[in-house]
Amino acid sequence: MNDNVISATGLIKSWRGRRVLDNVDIDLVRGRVTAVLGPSGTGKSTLLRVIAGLENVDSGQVRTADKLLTDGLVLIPPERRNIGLVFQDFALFPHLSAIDNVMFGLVEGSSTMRRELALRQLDSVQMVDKAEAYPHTLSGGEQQRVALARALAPGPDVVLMDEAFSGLDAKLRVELRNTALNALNESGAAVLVVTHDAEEAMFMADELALMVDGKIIQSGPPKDLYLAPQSLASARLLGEVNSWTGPVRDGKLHSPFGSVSIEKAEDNQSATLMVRPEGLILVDNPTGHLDIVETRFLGASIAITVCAVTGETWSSRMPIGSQFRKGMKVDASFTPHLTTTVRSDR
Amino acid sequence: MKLSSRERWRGVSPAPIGIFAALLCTLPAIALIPMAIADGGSHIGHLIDTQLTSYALNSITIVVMTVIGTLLLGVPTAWLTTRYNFPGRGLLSVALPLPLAMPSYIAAYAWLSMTSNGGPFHDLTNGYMPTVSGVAGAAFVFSICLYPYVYLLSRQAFESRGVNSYEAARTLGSSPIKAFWKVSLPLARPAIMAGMALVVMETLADYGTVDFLGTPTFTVGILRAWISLGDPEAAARLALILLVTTLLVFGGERLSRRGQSVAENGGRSKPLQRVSLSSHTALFAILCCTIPVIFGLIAPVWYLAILALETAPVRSPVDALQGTLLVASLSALIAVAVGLGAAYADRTGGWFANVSVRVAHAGYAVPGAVAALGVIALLAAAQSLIDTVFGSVAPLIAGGGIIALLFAYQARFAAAAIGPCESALARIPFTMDRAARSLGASRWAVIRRIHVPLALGGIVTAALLVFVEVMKELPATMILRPLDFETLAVSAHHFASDERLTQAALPSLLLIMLGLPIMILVSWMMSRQQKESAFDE
Repeated sequence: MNDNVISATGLIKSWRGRRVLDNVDIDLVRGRVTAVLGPSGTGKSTLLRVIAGLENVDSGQVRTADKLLTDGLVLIPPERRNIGLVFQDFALFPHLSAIDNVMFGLVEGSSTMRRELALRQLDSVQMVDKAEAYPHTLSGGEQQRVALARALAPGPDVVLMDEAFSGLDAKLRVELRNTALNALNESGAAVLVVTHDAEEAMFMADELALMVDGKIIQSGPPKDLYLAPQSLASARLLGEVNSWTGPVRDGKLHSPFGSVSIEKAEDNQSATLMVRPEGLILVDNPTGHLDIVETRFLGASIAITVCAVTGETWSSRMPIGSQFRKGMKVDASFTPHLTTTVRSDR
Repeated sequence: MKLSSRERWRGVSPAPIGIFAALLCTLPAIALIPMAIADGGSHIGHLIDTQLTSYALNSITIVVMTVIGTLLLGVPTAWLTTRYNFPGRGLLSVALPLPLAMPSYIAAYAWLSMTSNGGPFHDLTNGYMPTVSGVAGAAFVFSICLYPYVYLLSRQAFESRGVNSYEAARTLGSSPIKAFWKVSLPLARPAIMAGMALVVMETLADYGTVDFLGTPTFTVGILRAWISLGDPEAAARLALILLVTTLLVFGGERLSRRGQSVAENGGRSKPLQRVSLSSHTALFAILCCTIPVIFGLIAPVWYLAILALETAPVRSPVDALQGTLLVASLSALIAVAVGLGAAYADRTGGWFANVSVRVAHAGYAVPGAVAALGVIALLAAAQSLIDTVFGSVAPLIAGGGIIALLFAYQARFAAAAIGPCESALARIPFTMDRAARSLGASRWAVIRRIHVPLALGGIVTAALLVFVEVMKELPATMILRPLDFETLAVSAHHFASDERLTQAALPSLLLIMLGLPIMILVSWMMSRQQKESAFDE
């Protein structure tokens, strides 16, 4: 049996002459969280709205196993898709109490049954004692919990979350991600999370898709993407990265910070070396060819900026307690699994 | 967020301006009280016996029918033009507010004539269309002229509030219609109520329409008592009853809004995705949105234009035009000065200034006839004071001329300028004041370099709105104008009430031609401001 709840293929949508979706393929699978990560304005929210049925596409298809939902002509309205949508601003109905918000999407059964179901749903997000409260009396985190309960209550096949945590402060965000993940796992729905926060995307996702300018540039499990980005853009989306681009010589890339071998590349072909800061290991050496130009204390580690003879700078993370100071000379080596090379035609 | 008291009191206190605005708007109404109780109230019984019941009954019936009519015309058109895409939508959404440029008494002249024996609508329907007159006729005319208040406010609510709520309802299984009833309409209710309150206040303040269509309400009673019967006490009493009624409507609306204001903040706005309609439903939408514009503007203008072209004027309208331009532009300037001052007092002043400005807002509920009588009462009181001080050499101020008229206009319309000025200033966050001050700008420099450029759109809107309102004003002008002073409104009314409709056509048309471009400009500026503020978010 195909576990794909929703398959989107070849989605194309232009708005004011700009492609907001450029040939996007994505599958949402039962019980799995798929995250789309990208900078603001890359079309992530449009993708989500297309899957929700709130917008149509110019071409391409969104379908379930047995039904076509969207294809530029056909547009099954959102109320007939069995989806739950959690908005960035939560979009709670201000004129309804928390419980009435959750009950809004419940239509079957007696009102006692619906109420019970809604209470159970509120309980799963620890909001049962505020069931009668109105949205404006709730804090941001509480509104978020109610919004999640409301989306999950009708038992949707798919849950879509649009920057659902970005309105909250950092500590609350971490706490709510956990609550949300538990509730989502329990529901067994296919989940799509859209975010611009790399940490959030990696934390939530079973499957991660990186989106830039309306295109999905790489997708896979978060760890694979982090450790083996296929392009500099991919690498940068998931965190800070040092990079150097130059020609291949003798099967190797000779950067001012060190050399690595590169496979399947011909001489003189241009390639890019990418090293995560935590993969740039510094060694104290008075005759070293790198200068430390800056050190910053970060709590768990020290951020060190080194300068090569060419004037280029890279950054490194070393454990606290290491004795690096500004002005010291050092040598560098690369941790293999935090180092990647890609040919520039990729 | 408010400024701290230290920030507030450093430099000049703007509180006196707020208090001045409050006095301007409330003094005339307060001055009515001693006038109304001048001879102990023996008149009241007589009033009730003769006229009061019929005034009240007419007023209530017309108000109820007008509210229903404006709701039916205003809310669906607002919903259609915000949520759906159909041919002509852009044009229609700009055209729908324009009947505001049509004074309702002029629409009444045109519609009565068009539906009377020999009129085009009468002939076209073989006399089946009832003549627009009486209570139902007045309600019809008010509905087609005043629905834009409901349209504009509900449209704004549909556009800015709860777009996400609507979509959330859709994803939770609601059809478009159910989402409208269960979510969008309840969310827009405060705005619709505010529009309705404006409609009720305008209906109660009207004199020209009800007088012409033969359904006397309080305003007609006031003018009759004052002009025909020379009975200021009876006029003042009727004015007080009317004032209390409009204040109740005004206060009720404010109160109901206070309960819901918190609940309204349902999220940031987002560019709307309009749904395209199929050809059948699109045709229906076009029809729904065209009929109000045709009834409220196009048909009467077209008819009046024909009348005006066919008839040689017995009197040149130039004097009346000059009179209108003079009082309308002077009033607009004064109102903006007062409005801006009051808005500024509200922004930076203490609680007393805030309360004063709230009070000044109530001026909007003062009907023109009431304001005019109040000004007369005030001037009479001032005169007797001067007389006791100066004796026989006292200068004569009662009567007052144009100044008194301008005072009455302010009492009625200054509040209309405070609103737009306030919202224009409210869009400038206090952090900007602080940023400018921290960069070395003085308090005045902040006003000149930050506030005025940013609020200019709102200020101009306020001036234009007051200009149009004063231009259309009839009852206060009738009561207070000097004998040799004429405005287009008064001129049109005189011809129309003498059954010389062909002569009334030209001044009526001139009024509309003045008002229409201004309304288009205001409508354009408001939609631009709305877009900007949506962009800010």
